Amino acid sequence: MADVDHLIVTGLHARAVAGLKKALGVPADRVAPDHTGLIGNPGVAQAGLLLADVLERASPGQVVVVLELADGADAAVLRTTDALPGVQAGRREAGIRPVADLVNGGRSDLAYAVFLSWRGMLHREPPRRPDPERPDAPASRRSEGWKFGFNASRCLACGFRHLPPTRICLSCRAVDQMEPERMADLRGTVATYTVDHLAFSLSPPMVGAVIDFDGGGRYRGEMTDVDPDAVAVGTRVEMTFRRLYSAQGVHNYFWKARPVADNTGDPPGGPAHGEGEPTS
Amino acid sequence: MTSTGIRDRVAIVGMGCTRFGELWDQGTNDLLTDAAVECTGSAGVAIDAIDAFWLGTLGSGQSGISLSKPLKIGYKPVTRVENFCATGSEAFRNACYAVASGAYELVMAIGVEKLKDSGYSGLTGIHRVGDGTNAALSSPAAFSFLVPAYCHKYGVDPEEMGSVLNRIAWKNHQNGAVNPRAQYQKAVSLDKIAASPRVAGQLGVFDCSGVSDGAAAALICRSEDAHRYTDSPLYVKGLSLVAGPAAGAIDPEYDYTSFEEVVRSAADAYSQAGVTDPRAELAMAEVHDCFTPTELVLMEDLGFADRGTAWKEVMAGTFDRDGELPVNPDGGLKSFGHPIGATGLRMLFECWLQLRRQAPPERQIATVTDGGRTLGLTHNLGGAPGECVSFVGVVGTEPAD
Repeated sequence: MADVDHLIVTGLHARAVAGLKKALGVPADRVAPDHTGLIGNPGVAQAGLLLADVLERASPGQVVVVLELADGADAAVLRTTDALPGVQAGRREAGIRPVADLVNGGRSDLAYAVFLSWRGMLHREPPRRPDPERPDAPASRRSEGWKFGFNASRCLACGFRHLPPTRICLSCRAVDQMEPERMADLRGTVATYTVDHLAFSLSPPMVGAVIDFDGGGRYRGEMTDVDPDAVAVGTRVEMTFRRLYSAQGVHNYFWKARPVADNTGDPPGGPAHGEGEPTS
Repeated sequence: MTSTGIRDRVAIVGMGCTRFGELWDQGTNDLLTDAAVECTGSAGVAIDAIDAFWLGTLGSGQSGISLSKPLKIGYKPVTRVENFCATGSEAFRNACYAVASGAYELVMAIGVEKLKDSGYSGLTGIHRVGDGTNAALSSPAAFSFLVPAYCHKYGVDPEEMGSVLNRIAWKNHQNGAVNPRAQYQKAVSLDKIAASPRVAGQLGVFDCSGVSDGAAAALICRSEDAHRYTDSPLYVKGLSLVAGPAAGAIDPEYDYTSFEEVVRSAADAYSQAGVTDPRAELAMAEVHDCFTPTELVLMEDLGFADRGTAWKEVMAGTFDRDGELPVNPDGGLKSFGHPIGATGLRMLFECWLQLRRQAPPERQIATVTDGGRTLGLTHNLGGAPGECVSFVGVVGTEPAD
């Protein structure tokens, strides 16, 4: 245990997790924080999330232990290599936000009744619209890069970005000359928006927006973490992976845009489109 | 695009149209039967005399059986057609081509939708959700994008824009108030329209078309045969339908103040019909006023007003029933609701009445009786700004020159 630099313990049984951390005798400063106070317990994703968090801070040659508690237990022991600093630097340069940043990027103004309705513990009168349907698993698998990675297709012939990806270019009609391009870390500007009182949403009213991304590409989708009265043409946004709805036992996650309070993540020279100016 | 059209080669010789509304006592089969019987009756023929049928419905039935069963059609070709909110017009367009090709002599286009039984607000999709990544914005929300974009581009104050949209709703309700087939046969005051609860963006309840049940039908034959059935046929001058590449939803160049699909289909239909100045040549237009800003933008896309000026023309009354170019003299989707498969044929039914001077005197348009104009336009739009199909048709009472 003396060799362990980072101990990660995950599981749904909070008391068992806490008890094990203590019983193993690893010094407290080497036990990875689980952030449950800020983000709750993300369940099956917890081990991966905490490992990513640790690897963003770890040095080469360190020992990382991942323990997963359920009805049984799994243990994995990892040793970091000299390649780690290069990967860390590469991710920083690519603008990929670290886990710590995402954890601290949450909000603290959530009303308890809203939280309960999101968790399905407080029933809200739905609009007189069809209930949402569960997504199809094969279709979700086929569009994995888009649905989970928010990857556009960029035309190799002319550079036009398509969200969602397509095989034939809108701009130059080139066929199958596309490469995937990750859009999740780019910022965009609200070109136009609407507040939809009719559509189904976990958090009505749904705010719909047309987002034009820095460097090209347009996407029409939902906004989240947004005050409907505060959104405007020109609002700067970033993308965040959220639950759209749950249907027939399937949680449907996809990307939503949320306002960014500051311009620290903006490219040099400011956003691609002037603040407050719609694109036309 | 090479589109030569079928100008004056086919004619409408009979039509039928049910009342539109919350028709709790009538099912889809009743509506189809009523529309078909009125239609054949107006031409003095039996259903058995018809060679082939095109049925338009988005979701109130599938396959030709949905029509052959209630009408007891005896072993004839029946084609079911769907093309979003242009479904009714699409049934009509394909029926016309079948006659023009020489394949059949007498055909029926009929459209129906039974929306109210579901109990839902607005229209609903019927396709699978797929990977679950499509934004589930409602239709009023998707069309509400037009409002701030139009204001910004042409410097229209949002409050002024509100008055413009209110006047479009007011005008269409005025027209529907005197139409016994409309869902809402009641004039509505501008104050009441302005005070209606918000649905999406700046759109209130009165900016949205209704939800209703209804059916309409047309009987089509070769122009040279038309006088066998009626003394006053309507000749088909131009038919155009285009589906766009859904560019607006992904192209930052699109600014939400126009429907390129409408611009293209209008240019095609006008070219086929030989129309060069639609505002001066048309006696009337039935356009797809699913939401009030749609009608506003359509006035420019269809060439009835210059870019950035339609809002002034609306306020000046240009498109009122007694205006320079009556638009939606029957009350439009606003007063009729929008039973999808029926709407395009319902629009054609108003041309059928007005151009042939068979509308009741209290709502007969003067562009026909005094102005001597002979052409009418129908327009359907399916989808949303940036991603739609558009139909434009031109019909007229004068045969080929």
